[in-house]
Order: sequence, then structure tokens, then C-alpha cells
Amino acid sequence: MTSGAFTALRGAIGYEFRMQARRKAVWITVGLLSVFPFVASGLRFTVDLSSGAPLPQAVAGWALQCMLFGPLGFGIMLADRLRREHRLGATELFDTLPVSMDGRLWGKYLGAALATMAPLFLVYAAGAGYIAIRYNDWRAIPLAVAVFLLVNIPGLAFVGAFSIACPAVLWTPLYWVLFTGYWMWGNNLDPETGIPTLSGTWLEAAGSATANGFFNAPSLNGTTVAPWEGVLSIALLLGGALVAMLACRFYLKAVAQRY
Amino acid sequence: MSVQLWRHELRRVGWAVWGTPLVVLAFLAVVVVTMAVIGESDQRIGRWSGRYLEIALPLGAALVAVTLVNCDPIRELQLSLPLSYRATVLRRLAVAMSWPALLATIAVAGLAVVGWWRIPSSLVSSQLVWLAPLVWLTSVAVGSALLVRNPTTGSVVAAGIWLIELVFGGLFFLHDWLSQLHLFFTSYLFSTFPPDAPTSDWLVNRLVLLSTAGLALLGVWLLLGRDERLLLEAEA
Repeated sequence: MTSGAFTALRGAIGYEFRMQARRKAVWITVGLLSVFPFVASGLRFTVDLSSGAPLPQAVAGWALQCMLFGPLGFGIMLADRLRREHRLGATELFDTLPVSMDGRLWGKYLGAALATMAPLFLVYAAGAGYIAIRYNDWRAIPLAVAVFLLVNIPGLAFVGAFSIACPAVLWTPLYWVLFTGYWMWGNNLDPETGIPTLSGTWLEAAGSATANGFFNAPSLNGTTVAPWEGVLSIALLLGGALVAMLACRFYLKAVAQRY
Repeated sequence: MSVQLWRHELRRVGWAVWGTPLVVLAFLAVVVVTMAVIGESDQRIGRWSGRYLEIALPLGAALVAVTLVNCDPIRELQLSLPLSYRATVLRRLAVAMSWPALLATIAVAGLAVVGWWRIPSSLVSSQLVWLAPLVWLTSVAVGSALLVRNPTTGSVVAAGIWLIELVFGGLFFLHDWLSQLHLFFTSYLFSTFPPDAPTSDWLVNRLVLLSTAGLALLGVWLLLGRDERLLLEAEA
């Protein structure tokens, strides 16, 4: 990547981040959805903090608790980003600028996704801070960062990429419906119901495979996996995100060349 | 004039309004036919169809409807016309709610003809299975979108309520009054009380949903009358 392209990418990330971070709706909806499972379960953590459970298990259980509903708001709030340029009639104008489409698209993805996951991260950080105090162990803080990167980020990267890419080809309300249905079916549905589901598989974006495989935290659906399955889950989720973004790039290029 | 206005709205609401409920119901058709082909019992297909109509269709209707408010780029001009902007938006909402309602009625009729509609009440009253949650979720979603002047927020509210009621639905039955607000009461009955006879509680639940949806629609009507709030929407 040339230094000019890198500067453009950095600029796009910064601009998209600030634009998304200034939306009050992002903070309220994603924040409330992230904390809701904790509130609804009577202010209880998934892993009982007074049970003497290992610290990594408690932190990873909390990370998973934030992922129960938080990514729903995250995905929907990202889904109008690509359409926004089209709606405002700015796409053709941007095409005339020296900044490449790749730089704009990846900048939009990374910047908007980082800003939209900020409320979820803050809720998570507050809980992790409380766990550190309860365990009286400062190591909970670096551990919480590592857990967020391994448990939360792959799933958020996965749904974020699809939320940026899919509205390029789908009507936004249809994408909202499909995404909400997907999140319920692929992450919250109990595999015991007999309905084929992604829930409990390596492709579950909520992060059960990594939380359970690496840190022995109880998964959302009671499944138990080996550490190597956590690695595979991360690879599949990040690979899926890359495929979605590349498909979106090729589609946008093809559309642009038609004119 | 009035007919022309309705025809205009029918033409302008866009493909998303027509297509989204069609996609939702096409999936129902695919699953029902697949279940029949693999030899599932009529009882099981009937339960699945009832659940699907109660759970999936209202989500589709609500998420489409929120895109129809605060969507005019030059609202100042709309608000300066002798034609009420409130009436214009309500006409759009009527179109957005009537279309999935029409499709659902046809779907129920089709399922009943084949013997796959297993709601043991009259064909007319059993329409409340999908009607009550559809009207409730749509009016609450639109009300939220107008309140915060942002359609995307309205969609997160609708999707959030929908998902929370599905995952934490059991919490609603800890209190009698709260169970009356459960959007998916029919599906709950299916999973608890064979052979699924809708009790009087079911009818009360449907009527409570419809009346609270009426309150939400009243809120929509009031919010649409506050011109300055319609103009100050954040466009980020």
C-alpha cells in the first residue's frame, strides 16, 4: 500500500469513526442491548463471581453475556452506512476523487465498526472492571483486553462486514429483517430444538466457541468445545468477513464500470 | 382527489415495501412444502406455520414501516402544503401495514384449505395470531422512530423487543399483567398446552396488544403534528 493510499485509508477511518460516534442512537441502542441480559437476569454475571471460578472463565463469561443482544444493534446501526452515500447522491462525487474505492470501503468498515462497537466495549469494560475489583486482581484488565479480542472481535467483524456489504444489494429493511432473524437463529436458538442452526457451531458469531474453548466459560447453548475449535472459529469468522468485504468491493466496482 | 392520493402513495412507497413481506412469506412457503415433502405431520406443519406468521411477519412489517417516516428529503416543502403531512405519512403507514396483512390473510386461507392451519378457533378470530403483534410492533417501531427522529433507531427498538421477547419470553409469564403484553402468546401456548386450545387468556392478550397498539398509534398521530420535530431530524 502506498503512503498516499494509507493516508486516505486513515482519513476515511477517522471520518467514519467520528460520524458514527456522534450518533446518540448508536450509544443508546447498542449500549442498552449489550447490558440488557445482565439486567434481565437480576444483575447477575453468567459465571457466579462468588463461586471461586477462575478469573479467565469469569471474564469470558461476561464477554459472552454482552454478545447475546449487543451485536443486533451493532449490525443494524452499520447497515445504513453504505446506502447513506448513495442516498445523498455523493457516490459519483467520491468516485472523482483521488481516494480509491478500496480505501473508502475499508475505511468505512473499520471506522464505523469501531465506533459502533464502542458502547458494547464500554459496557464490557465496566463489567470487567467490576470483576477485577471483586477478584482483587489487576491482571483482569489485560486479560479483559485479550478476551475481547478473541471472543468479541471476530464475531463483530463478521456481522459488521455483512452489514456493510449486504445493503449494497438488498433493500435495507429486508436486510434488517434477515439480519435480526439470522441473529436469533444463528446465535440464540438452542440447538436442542431440532432446527438446524449455526448456534453452537464454529460459525456462531456470538463467540461461544472461543469463550468455551479458550477460557472454559459456559457457552450460550451448553456446548463444550476444544481450544483448536476456538482457533478454527476465529479463522472462519474473520475469513467470512473478508469474503463479504471482497464481494462487496467487486460488486461496487462492477456497478461503477457500468456507467 | 383522495383516490389519486392513495394511488400516488401506492406507487411511491417503493419495492422494499412490497418485496420484504413477500420474501418473508416465500420462506414460509418453502419451509412448509419442504416439511410436507419430508413427511412431517399436518399437526407439526400447522404449529410451525402459526408460529412463523406470529413471529416473523410482524418483524418484517415493522422494519419496513419505520423507513416510511422521516424519509422525505424536503420536509419543509411538504409541511408548507395545504395537504396535511400527517395524513400523507399515515396513508403510507396504512399501505405498509395493509400489504403484509393482505398477504397473511391469503396465506392463512391457503393453509386452512390444505389443512395446515391448526389454530382451533374460527378462521376470522384466528387472524389475531399475526394481526395483534403486527400492529403492536409496527406502531411502537414507528412511534420510536418519530420520537427520536431516526428510522434506524426505530428499527433497533423493534428488532430488540422482538429478540428479547423470543429469548426472555418466559420472564413475561412471571406476572399476569406482563403476560398480556407478550407478542408471541400463541407460540407460547403451542409449547405448553397441548392440544393448543387458545384460552380466554389468549384472547385477552390479543385485545390488550391491539389496545396498547392503539395508544402507540395515538402517539404517532400526536408526534406527526409537531412540525418542528419533524424538521430537526439528525441526518448523520
